[in-house]
Amino acid sequence: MVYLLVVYVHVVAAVLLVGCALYFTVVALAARGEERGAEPLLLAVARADFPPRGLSAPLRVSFVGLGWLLLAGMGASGAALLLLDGGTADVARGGVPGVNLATKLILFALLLGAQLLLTARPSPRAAHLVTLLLLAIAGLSALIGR
Amino acid sequence: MIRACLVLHVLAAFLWLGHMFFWSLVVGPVLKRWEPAAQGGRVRVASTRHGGLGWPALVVLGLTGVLLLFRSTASGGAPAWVLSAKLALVGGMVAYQVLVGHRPAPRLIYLDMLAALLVLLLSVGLAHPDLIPIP
Repeated sequence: MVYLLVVYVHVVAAVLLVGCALYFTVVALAARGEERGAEPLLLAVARADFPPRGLSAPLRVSFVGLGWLLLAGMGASGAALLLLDGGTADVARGGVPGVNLATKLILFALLLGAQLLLTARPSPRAAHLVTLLLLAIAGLSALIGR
Repeated sequence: MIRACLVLHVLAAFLWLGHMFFWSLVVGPVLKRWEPAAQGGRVRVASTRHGGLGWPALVVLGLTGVLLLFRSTASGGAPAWVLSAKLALVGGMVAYQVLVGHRPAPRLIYLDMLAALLVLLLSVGLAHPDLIPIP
């Protein structure tokens, strides 16, 4: 039961993170034709505060900050799953032992780098990279079953 | 074939639900109070220009879902009520998409999101049938 709940938390965090990444990609695509390029608009979006009211300023989080929080949630629940199943989920589903999981962890490390890039200098390239890496991880996770 | 269907099914679900949750819970409230207003207008246009993921995602989910049902044992070993409940909730979400779509529905959208969270929970259950508590 605990395992099921942790998988659920992991999936919900990933769904929200895909939504967050998709938002940056959509804004980047829509702002392609802007005179000064998409970067200024992406920077404004990256720094936008959430929630816009109801919390005092120090407790609010920026859009990229929200991405980091969701990444932390995904990473923590993923680590908990590894502890709970000992990394055997992909083997149980007929995969080559460790290959899917290792690929997923490498993609996750690349995702952290891409998110860092998006945080430091929001650009269409960084936004697309984060979204593509997340979708690759989600697709691979479907095969592992978590 | 079945693995490709599974990957497509999961990707379509993630894009559809991720879009729905993030736009409804985060983007909408932030855009209402964006300062300065002129920039808010530009962000609002950019936020909605490439919207409308619902229908394409539903088509992919429907096709791959039907294929997955036919190519694997229907509920993958999970109790039948799990699959039935998931299909009933998905039916409700399709009805929402048909009747409301992108029109503002301040209360119904929360019901739709609750249904989406339950669909995700049941899907996790279908992927791990041995872990579902027997009612």
